[in-house]
Amino acid sequence: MRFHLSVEDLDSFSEGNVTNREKERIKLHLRECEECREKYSLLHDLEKYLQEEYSTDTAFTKRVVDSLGKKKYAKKRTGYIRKKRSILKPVFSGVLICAFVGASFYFGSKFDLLKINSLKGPDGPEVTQASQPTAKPTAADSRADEAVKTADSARRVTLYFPNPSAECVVPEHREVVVKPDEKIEEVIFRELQEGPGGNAEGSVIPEGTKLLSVEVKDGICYLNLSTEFVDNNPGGTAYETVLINSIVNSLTELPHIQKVQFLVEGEKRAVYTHLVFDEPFERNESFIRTPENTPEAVEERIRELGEKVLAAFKDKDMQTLSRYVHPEKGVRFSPYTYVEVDKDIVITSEEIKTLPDNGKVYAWGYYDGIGDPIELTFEEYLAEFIYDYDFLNADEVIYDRQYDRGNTINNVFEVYEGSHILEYYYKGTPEYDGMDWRSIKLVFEEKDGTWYLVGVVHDQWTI
Amino acid sequence: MHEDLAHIKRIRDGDIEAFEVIVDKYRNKLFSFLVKMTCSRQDSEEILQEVFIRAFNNINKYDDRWSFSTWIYRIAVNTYKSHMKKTRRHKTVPIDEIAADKGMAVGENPEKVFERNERHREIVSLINSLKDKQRIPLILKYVKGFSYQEISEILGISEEAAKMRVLRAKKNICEKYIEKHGGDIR
Repeated sequence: MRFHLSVEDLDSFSEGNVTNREKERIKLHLRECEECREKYSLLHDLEKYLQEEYSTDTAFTKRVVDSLGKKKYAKKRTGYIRKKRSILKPVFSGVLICAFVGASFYFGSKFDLLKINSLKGPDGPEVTQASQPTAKPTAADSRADEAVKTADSARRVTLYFPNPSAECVVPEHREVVVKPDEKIEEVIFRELQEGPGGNAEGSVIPEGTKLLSVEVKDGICYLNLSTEFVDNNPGGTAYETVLINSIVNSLTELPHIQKVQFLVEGEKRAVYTHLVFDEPFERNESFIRTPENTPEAVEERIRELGEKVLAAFKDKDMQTLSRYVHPEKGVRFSPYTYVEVDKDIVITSEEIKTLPDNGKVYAWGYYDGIGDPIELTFEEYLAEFIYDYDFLNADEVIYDRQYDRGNTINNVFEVYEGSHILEYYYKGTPEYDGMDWRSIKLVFEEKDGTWYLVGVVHDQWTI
Repeated sequence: MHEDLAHIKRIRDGDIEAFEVIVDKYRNKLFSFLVKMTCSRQDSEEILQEVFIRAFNNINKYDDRWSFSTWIYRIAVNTYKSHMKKTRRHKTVPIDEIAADKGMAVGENPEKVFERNERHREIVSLINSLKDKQRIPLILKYVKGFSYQEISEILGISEEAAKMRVLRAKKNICEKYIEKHGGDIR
């Protein structure tokens, strides 16, 4: 990014003193330029800090008055009331201070609980009430339509809370009670504020945030929050990301909500403090971690899959193989390290079933060095460029790590971004100084929670 | 402002209670300003006490055509300057005292508190790295939402100069920040 927004630009932008066109230009720039986003957020935090208020103690005024040059201007007005007050005031303020300090010691810790409770509204239900039989819809008579409308209904919701290291969000299922005058979205927001397992410490929603209103239109949930949502945001891109994912993923669990638009005091904001904020957020599955998708569990799953795929190649069991091939993208075969996205052959999961019996000759690319086209049937290609070594007994099985072994650019991690890559590596023999090494990489991509084969990249010594 | 004038008239007539009203009205605003200037509650309180005493003793010199609020801020700026000259503590103020002000609320995530305090501390030190010439107008601008005209009245400079200094202050802060974090930002 060569050009940056000036402080003047950012000032006018945050004060709203810009034309619509300027506003668009600045927004666009902010979206793309991290440095300017940082500046914008710095200026925002700077102003916020400068606006913070500090208070003197209540006895201050008295101390000032007492220390005045013995009432330079004082005259006549030394009546009974004034005299009496001058004695009473210190006594009163002393009592008040003691009472206040005492109270804050005793009730300080309870204050937050009170706050949390007050967010529920005067008669907000406790979560535990969900288990009370009256709240169960199963107990309701199906004929009693009226009763259903006015009764509390119990619902099972899925909430997403950040994990302890705040890298992702983890689901928590909860039974909640929705009162007749309540919206389910309100209940979800309240539950999020209560934190994971009802432990408010784990809640990421900025302290004191109130849900002013919520409305769903065309699948977009407009979440109107109080200014504390911005003011009490402790800052940090990572924090914001986990916060937004927690809210958006929880709300998009509801079938009628696809996206969430945040409003602060009824207004769209251009930037939260880091993230662009005037467009609705979509659900982000990749941010969710369940027991099935911890990095360890995924690695285990991919390693299992890898073996099945390799075995299918070895046995030329195309029916089995087709089940592992990505149903939409198919699988791309690259004869050498460098993946040529447009040129390499891609075979669909349907077509692969017809292999190797179809006898068709494909142009798989060009031989390294000689430059001749690789025109082979699938069976021939398999023997030469896929299972050209007993990879099921490879020297190493490497998960998601890049090695540059030869002199060919290894672009597999770029091309298949977001995928997991398993590499089976055979070291070669001393007889050839190890130059007869070989490897096969299997690339897996996720679709709807299942991992599919999208790439098979062969690698060997090249000139 | 009209209200202030009525009180001032009463103070001139020797009514201490009217003065109490003025002190109560301005003490927290001026205190917030001074805390940002000194980064110390104790220093701020000392200065603030002196500000009010000076105001009281000079109330006859106050020109009614000015707003009382700019007049008392002018006293605050001058008192701050002379206080700092006396104590020479300006560059060695312990900013932790202010950062620690925002303690941890019950039930708050300690990581969040840490992150917030770090940010707080950094902003305080960025402001303190400025020269008073830029620092004072910047703090005045936001501490109470003063207009540039009011800032110019308080500091006895032109409105244009007030504007310029606030802008330069912000630019300097941004530059220093980017310089420090340049490596992390692409």
